[in-house]
Amino acid sequence: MWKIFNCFISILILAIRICHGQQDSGEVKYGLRFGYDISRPILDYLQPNRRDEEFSVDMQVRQNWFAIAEGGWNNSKINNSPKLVYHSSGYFWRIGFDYNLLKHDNINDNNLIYGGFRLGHANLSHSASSFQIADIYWGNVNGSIPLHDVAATWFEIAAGIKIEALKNFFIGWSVRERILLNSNINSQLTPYVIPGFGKGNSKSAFDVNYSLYYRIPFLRIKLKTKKTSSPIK
Amino acid sequence: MLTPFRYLFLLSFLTGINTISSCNNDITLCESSTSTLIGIGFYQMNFNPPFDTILPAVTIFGLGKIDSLFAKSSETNVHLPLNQNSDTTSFYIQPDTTGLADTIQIIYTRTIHLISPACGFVTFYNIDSINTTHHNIDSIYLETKTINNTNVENIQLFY
Repeated sequence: MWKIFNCFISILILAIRICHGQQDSGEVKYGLRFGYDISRPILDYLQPNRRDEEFSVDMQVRQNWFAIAEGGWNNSKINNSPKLVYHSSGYFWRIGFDYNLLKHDNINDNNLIYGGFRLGHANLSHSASSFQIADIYWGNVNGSIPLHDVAATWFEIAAGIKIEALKNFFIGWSVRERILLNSNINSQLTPYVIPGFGKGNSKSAFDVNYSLYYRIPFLRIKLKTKKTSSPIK
Repeated sequence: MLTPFRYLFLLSFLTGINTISSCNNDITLCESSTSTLIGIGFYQMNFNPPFDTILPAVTIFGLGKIDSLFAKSSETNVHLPLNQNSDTTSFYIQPDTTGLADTIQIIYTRTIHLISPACGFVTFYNIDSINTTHHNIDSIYLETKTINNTNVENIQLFY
């Protein structure tokens, strides 16, 4: 197991040195960057009927390329009795890549302006424990829809920035546009929220994230400037 | 390099808060129509082509109900509620104060849809068949089978 790990680290170091061959000499830090989306608690404050949490982890895998995984969950409760009493809970994950568009003056500059894409998937359970359709002529309709599962898959594009405010501590925002690819949503009861996607009654969703990140630099690689031969005059 | 970054961050933060704030209306404010009524238009057969006509004093009520939906009212078309607890609804329609009344029977299937948390559920219908007596009504034409919250004309009654 250790041999495989050592081999993986060696290949990673080699790849990083190749990628940074044209840059200045110095020490480059690589590591997992963990993020927490602080906009979700703000959203929960403004919309008390829902509770969301979202986390992320990313790592540079090639020059300007970052592999990223995101995940979280949502709980929604709507008590609009007697019209509707609704509950849902679910979780989501997203995987994808970000590409840094910012040209760095030196290898210690870790600020990013990036564009990227994600593939997302969510599972949730929801129910309408009671509802009433008002009808003053023929009489009201009362009913309920039992708990059932929904799954949804989507594609999203992302763009944003990350700045290193303190050493290894980043803040950043991103904007997202999501397009629902597939779901088994029952037309009777559309989910109020698809976790990680947005409102369940739409095939597309726009979102804004504000996150705090901390990078654990477990890998430090020293790079040297490549010597290039002068052209023959 | 950090100054423009911080400016962008603040600007987007304010924009984002505004975006998030505007997303909460669907819990408290119903902005969609929750009315799912069958639309019936009245037409005159004596003319070619037939054109819509005014029934001068139409009285309509649901069969089995005492309260009328329209009482001696002048109408060219009406929108009526179907019984959401049954797959069949019949209406008594008297075109004026002197003419004989007709009964039309509408047979349908029902599905419920959640419009939004504020609006709640509504019932959509798909008309399977319609039957009528012919005291005053010459014929009946099923124009649109589906009844949702757009409230179009579903049935044409020819007198």
